[in-house]
Amino acid sequence: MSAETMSCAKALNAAMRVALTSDPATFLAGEDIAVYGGAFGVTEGLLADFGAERVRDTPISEDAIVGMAVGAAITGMRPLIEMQFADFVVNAMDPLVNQAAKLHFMYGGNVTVPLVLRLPGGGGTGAAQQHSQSLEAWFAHVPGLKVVAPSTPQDAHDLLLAAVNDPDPVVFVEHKLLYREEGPVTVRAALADVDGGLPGTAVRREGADLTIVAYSLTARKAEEAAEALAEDGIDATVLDLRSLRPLDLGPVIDAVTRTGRLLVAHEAPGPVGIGAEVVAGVVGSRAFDHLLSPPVRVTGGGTPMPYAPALERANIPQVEDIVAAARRLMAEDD
Amino acid sequence: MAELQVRMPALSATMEDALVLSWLVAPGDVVRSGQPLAEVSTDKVDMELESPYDGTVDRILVPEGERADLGAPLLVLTSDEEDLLGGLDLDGDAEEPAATPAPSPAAAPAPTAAPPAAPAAAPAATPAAIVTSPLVRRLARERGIDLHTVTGTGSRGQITRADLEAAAAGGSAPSAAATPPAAPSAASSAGSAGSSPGNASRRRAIRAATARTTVRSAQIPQFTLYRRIDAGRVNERREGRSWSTELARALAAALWRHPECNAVWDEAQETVVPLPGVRVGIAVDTPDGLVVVAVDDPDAVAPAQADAAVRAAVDRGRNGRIVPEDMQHVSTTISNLGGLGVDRFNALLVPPQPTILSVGRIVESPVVVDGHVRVRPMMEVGLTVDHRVADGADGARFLETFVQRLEG
Amino acid sequence: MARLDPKTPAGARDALRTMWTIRRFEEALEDLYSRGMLHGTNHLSIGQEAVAVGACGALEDGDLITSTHRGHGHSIAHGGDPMRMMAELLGRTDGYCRGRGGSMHIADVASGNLGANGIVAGSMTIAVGAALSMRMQGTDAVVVCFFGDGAANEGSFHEALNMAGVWDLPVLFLCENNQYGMSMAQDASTAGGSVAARGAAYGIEGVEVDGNDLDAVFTAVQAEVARIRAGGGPGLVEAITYRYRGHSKSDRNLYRTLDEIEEWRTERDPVDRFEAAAVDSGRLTVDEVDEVREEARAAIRDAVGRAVRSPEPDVSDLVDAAYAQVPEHGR
Repeated sequence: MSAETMSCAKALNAAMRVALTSDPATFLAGEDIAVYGGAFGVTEGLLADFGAERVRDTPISEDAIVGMAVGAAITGMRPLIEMQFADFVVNAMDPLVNQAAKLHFMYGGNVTVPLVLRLPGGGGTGAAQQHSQSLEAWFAHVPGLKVVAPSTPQDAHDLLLAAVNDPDPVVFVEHKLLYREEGPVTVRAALADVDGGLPGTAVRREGADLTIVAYSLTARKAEEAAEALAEDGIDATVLDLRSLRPLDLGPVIDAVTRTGRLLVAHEAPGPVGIGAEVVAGVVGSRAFDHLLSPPVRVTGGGTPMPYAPALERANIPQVEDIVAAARRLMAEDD
Repeated sequence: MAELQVRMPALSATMEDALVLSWLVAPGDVVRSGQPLAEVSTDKVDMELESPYDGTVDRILVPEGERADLGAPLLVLTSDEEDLLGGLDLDGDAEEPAATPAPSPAAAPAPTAAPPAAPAAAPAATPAAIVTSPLVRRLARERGIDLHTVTGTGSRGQITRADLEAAAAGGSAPSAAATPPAAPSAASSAGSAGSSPGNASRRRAIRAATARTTVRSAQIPQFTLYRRIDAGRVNERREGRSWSTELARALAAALWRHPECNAVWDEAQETVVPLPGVRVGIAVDTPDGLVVVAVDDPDAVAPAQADAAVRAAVDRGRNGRIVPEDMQHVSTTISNLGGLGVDRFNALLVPPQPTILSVGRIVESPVVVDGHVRVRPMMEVGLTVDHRVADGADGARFLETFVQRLEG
Repeated sequence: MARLDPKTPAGARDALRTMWTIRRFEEALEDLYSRGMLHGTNHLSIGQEAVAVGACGALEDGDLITSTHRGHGHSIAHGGDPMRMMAELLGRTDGYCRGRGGSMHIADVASGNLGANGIVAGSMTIAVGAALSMRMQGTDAVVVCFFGDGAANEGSFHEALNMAGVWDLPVLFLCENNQYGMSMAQDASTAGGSVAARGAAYGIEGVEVDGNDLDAVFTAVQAEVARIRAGGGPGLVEAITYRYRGHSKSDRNLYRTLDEIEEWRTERDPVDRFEAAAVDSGRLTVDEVDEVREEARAAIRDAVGRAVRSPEPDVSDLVDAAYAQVPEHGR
């Protein structure tokens, strides 16, 4: 099938359509996803085609929504859940962390918990503290959960289908500002077309001078930053992690072994974050002996997300922040 | 009527024994379950010991002021209740764990643990701190340059790569104490032969390197373990990939699982030093002699990618274009003489690598499967192990993981 | 057809044997604990046996249960193998969870026990999802969700009842009100006093029943399950019962008197009461009662004898065990 241009939101919508069409065990549930089409329109049109039983509006009960999904998942269904905003998952931490993540292990491998939890997160929309967070590191910290974060429409499409196929609970991190980003998408014909498991790190750009690692919206910013750096004659490799747990560090180690310099960027707060994990993994690998300078992180979240545009912008890594950090890194004598 | 013993219960998670402070009952007293029998004092708190049964106190076994171990009988009751578990053998002589052999405790519970980033050899104590990057340290180590003799010109006074290059080009002399890089097998000779071709000299260089390596190897206490492997599963799924790739991937998996077999002996420190990662060497038979090439952890990438890396490495060996990476931090080597009709053999270690795998030919052989004689493609391998680094049982467990991976 | 009808002689015998099996199982745990053979704490349901046995007896094959941290009785009443449960508590490979879960996490999904749960009210929303799942898959199965009086004050309780209510799901919420949430007396923790009465807020007619009367529990649950199976929407039963033992092993019973415990044990013990009722009504003879007790004792001795010989798990069992599928790059 040939690729067509569509937004991330449409690519996700198309993936849900594929899942609902090809597996009767799948269903969607969440707040305002059916009639309203989702707070960000991602589930638009699905109610009409699949009915209220499988495209299910829920009460505003995040705990029950995720707990219900766990119960359905361990009894043969494949629920695909939308948290209206990633921030609201805090009300569902027990079913997610104490139940979904644990049951397969806790019950001796006798159950699987194939649920997907979509978390629209990230700042830049002026929604301030309680509607702008990037909470992915919390979930990557929990054994039993998988965490993925696509940055392109094609990945959004494919990763969602791979997540639905996966027998484990998958936290699916979406950045709200990616929804309207467009790109070529080959819509899969069936769930079975993405049966290779959750994919790992993607190489977005190859360059010899430094390695920039990012994910989700920040991966797109990293690509832009690399283009700007190229004009200065700095040739960056850009890697998009895509999967945050498990973390596919092989390509990162390979790249740092070649370039000797590492910059990790993400919108989530730095302390105890994904960037820390990437840096630790690289420094603890054979790439250590190839390092030319200390690895650098560019992260957000110094404070809760501010409202005023200038403050909000300052709290989120921008393209120019990545460029500036890369230039400083290159200025270190090797 | 049964005689029931009341034992010292676990009153806290850490308690090993407790002190009987006072008895609240005496022989002849009728007690109900839940009724306090005694006050006892643990490492944490004073607590009442409750009777687990209804009955009559017959005798007290531990006087006030004495300690009793967790589980020790304290008092005997006569009771209408049954001694539920009386006479059962509870000594819990649990059967041996199932057939799967135990990996080392360090390896198993943390499958995602990154290996420690230990250098291949412990550096000697340094008189003064050297400021430089990990890369420059490595290059200096490889070239035998003592960084104390190099002046740093970097912004923080650090030794830059350019400083090192200048020193190597004639600046500071290499330290006499610096050890030459480990040069396994013929690789280094073969590498240098690339720039000055001529088969005779190349052959002579490889021969000399092999001679040096094998003499050093002969001084290492080593033993070989053999296993027969059913090659059928690998053949079914290898999809055109080379046998070397399949063997290398299985070895890499086993090395991650058994870090005790992915370490080298440090003679000076008399200690085992873990290797920083997994690299697998492959012995390549060339017209000029034996060379060894290496690939990065082939199990960390997709099978097709690993196969491409293995094929590229073997080509490199055949063409005499050995690169430094073929010699550094190599964990183990595969030596396959199956193609030449050999049934089995024991390969000599390539110092400092702690193991080497010899591979014999695949022979259709009768084997008993589920009680029936079947003809299966069988292959024999030998794992030679540096006994200073690991023991026979370590090697056996390593080999078991390797075999399970291939047969699984 | 209910699996076990205590109104018949055969059903009465099964029900009594199951109650004794639960009690003996937990007494054996106390004994093993006192010998230092149990690794963690455990929560005993001695005194509450009639709720588990009466409720599970009223179910049909294919019906599901979710359980609580005090779940040994639910597991046995739903058909769990005491040997595999004991092996789990001893941390052995033959345990239901291969020694990974322990007392609070026994599950036997294959036989419809979706699992005990260490989080108070943790299984209530799971039961809602299982009920939705059963309906979407076109079965007429009913899910019985056991929970304690303490759970009725968790948000999950309210979210679960509301969701089950608006979606008309086939789930029976079964409160085992044993009077205390750990040390907190139910009347001090629960505004309005009644758990059953809270159903009204969600369109559910709550039913209160004497949880120490096995016949009464069976009758109430059987009626509710039949109504739910016929599409009548979720149910809520509050069974009033009592636990004799402390909340867990660290309990010093500071919140209640020995007289109170004694009164429940001598006046209202569910096993004593059912034995008397079964003999009075001619369902069982005194000799049969003795036989049943001996059967339960022998079953537990056999379970313990075999469980202590089950192998200890190997740490290699933990490799990749948190996931059903680990991608190549995740190893």
